[in-house]
Formats: sequence, structure tokens, C-alpha cells
Amino acid sequence: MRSFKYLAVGAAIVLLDVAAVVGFKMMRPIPPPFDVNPAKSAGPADAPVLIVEFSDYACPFCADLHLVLDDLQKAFPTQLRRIHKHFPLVKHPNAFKAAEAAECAADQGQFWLMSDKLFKTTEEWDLEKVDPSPKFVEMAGSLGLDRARFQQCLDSGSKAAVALADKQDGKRLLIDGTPTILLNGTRVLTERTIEDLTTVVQEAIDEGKKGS
Amino acid sequence: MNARMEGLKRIGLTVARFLIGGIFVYSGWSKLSRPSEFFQLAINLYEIVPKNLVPGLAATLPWFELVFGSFLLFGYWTKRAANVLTVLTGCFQFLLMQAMIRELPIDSCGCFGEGISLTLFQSFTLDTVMLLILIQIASAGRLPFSLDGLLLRGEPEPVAANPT
Repeated sequence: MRSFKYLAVGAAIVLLDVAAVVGFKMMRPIPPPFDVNPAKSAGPADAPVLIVEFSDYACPFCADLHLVLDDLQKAFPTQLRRIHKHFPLVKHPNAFKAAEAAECAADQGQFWLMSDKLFKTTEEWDLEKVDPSPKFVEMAGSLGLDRARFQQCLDSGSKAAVALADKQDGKRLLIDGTPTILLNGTRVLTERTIEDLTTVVQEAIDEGKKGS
Repeated sequence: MNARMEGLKRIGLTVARFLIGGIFVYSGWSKLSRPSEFFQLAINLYEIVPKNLVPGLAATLPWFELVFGSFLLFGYWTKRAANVLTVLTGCFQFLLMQAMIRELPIDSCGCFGEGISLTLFQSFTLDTVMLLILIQIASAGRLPFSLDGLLLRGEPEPVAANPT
């Protein structure tokens, strides 16, 4: 009898847990979609597949994925739209400033060029206790951007809010690390190789055709 | 150990039981209250669990945290709940340690949902403290303010582990 009572209390605790989780899930509102800056997107706006990439310029895994996504974009030029969102990690001291630099380049229409450069040169600017701004200005000059305008933008810190807003979008989507990619709003959990991503994109295209 | 010290230790372990039980309940709750896909992503960031096991792990692990955390919080099946949570915490420590050694780009450990964001090192430190206390709870006798104390009154206490 005592044993039955003991088991019944245990079952009641488990039921309480289940009821709380199920009840909460039923009441939880769905988060609204985030804003998208067209300067940080590539591919046609009406493409059937949208990839959103949350990335950190000082993260080597992000650099690898960036190259894979470049190839993916070439493989699906009319069917894939790609959007870049900043998600600078706290552990990378200069990643936030790098995101600002990319935003300043976006003002001059060269977001992707600057992004490529930042990913390729991480070891040159992501150094502890070193201000990376002069390096970014030098990079902007080498890419043919208006140096003075770029420097003014970078020094003003006006793009910090944009980088922060991107990161907050990621936080709102409960992103904890980089790189994270969303494909038509769903997180991609496969390996981040060109083969696997090609398969995933092709499946999304096929699914869209079936649905239409 | 004299009676006074033993009494203080039991009070300390009781408070710790509430705190650690609460932490596990919150941890499990934060993962279960959002789609399991989010936790799958967090597991993937550690790049060690085989991909085909991730969905199953993401679906079941938070339930273990929630249920056994609740058991510990209420002092129900305390010894076994503490043992299960000790094993879980040990696994978490292994995950965190390998991620720190490999310098994986993880900003937040993903242990808790939106509310609390801990770095890998902070989480590892918390887990170490919890692991040591859980071992103490698992080897202690029946603690006060527990359902075990209420439901098993009059029954013999579980034999405490002998450190010698």
C-alpha cells in the first residue's frame, strides 16, 4: 500500500511536469519575422529558397561556410536568395567592429566584397587589445571604396546599432553560436558541405514546385 | 564528524538540493518550452554527437532534466534522482570540456533558454560545483523537507556511502 502511494506521488510529479510543458507550448506566441537589409542579400528577391546566414567574421567555421554558400549561390543563381546577418561572438574581441566595417562597406554597395575580405584576413585583425579600425580602413581602400567616407562611418560607430540589431534577431531566434543557417525559416541541421547543402536546397525547390 | 557539523551539513545539502533541483527544472523547462529543433542546433554546435542521434537526444534529454530535477526539488526518490543527475552533469562536463579544448565558436552554452546565457567556462564551473554537491546528496541519508521523509516515515533510511 505504501509502495503504491509512493509510486502515485511520483506519477503525479511527472504528470505535473508534462501538463506544465504542454500548457505553456500551447499558449506561447510565435516570434515575428525580422527586418532584412537588401544590401546584405544576394540573389533574386522572389527566389523560392531563402537562406539566412548568422555569422561572425572571426569564426573559422563561418569562413568555411561562407565559401560553401558562395558556391551554392553559383549553383542556384536564380533559385536562391541569401541574406547575411551578423552574430559576433563575445569571445572574438574585434568581431563586432568587423561587422560594423562590413556595414560601412554596404553603404558603398560593397558588402559582399568586404565580407569576403574580412573572412580571408581574420588573423590580421582579430588580435587581442589591438584596434582593428586602421586595418579595416586599409582594406576598404584596397577594395576601391572611398576611404574617407568609410573611415568616418567606422569612427562614428553609427553601424553598431545595426550589428547589434542583427545579433538580437539571432538571439530572438534562440541562436547560441555560429555559423547558423536558416533555410526558408527552418534551421539547417545537416553537415555544412556543398554536397549536403545542395541536396537540401534542391529538396526545398522540389517541395516548392509540388506545393504550387 | 560531530552532531552539530552533521546537522549543518544536512541543512546545507537540503538548500543545495532545492537549488540544484531548481536549476535542472529550469534547464529542462527552457528547452522543452521551445521547439526541439533549437536544442538540436545547440547539440550540433558541440560537433561530437552523431547527427542521426541528435533529434532523439534533443527530444528526450530535457525530459530527464525536468523530471529528475523535479524529483530532486521535491525530495522524491532523492538518491536515485541525484545519481541520474550526477551522470547527466558528468556528460555535460565532457561536452563543455571538449568544446573548450577545440575552441569551438560557441557564445553561449545553450544549457538554458533565453533567460540565462553562460559561457562554456562559466557553465563548466557551475557543473563542477553541482557535480560535487550531487555526489554528496546521493551519498547522504534522507534529507529534511522531502517527500521521501514524508512518504517513507518509519521505514529504514538508505545506507549512506562510507567514505572510508
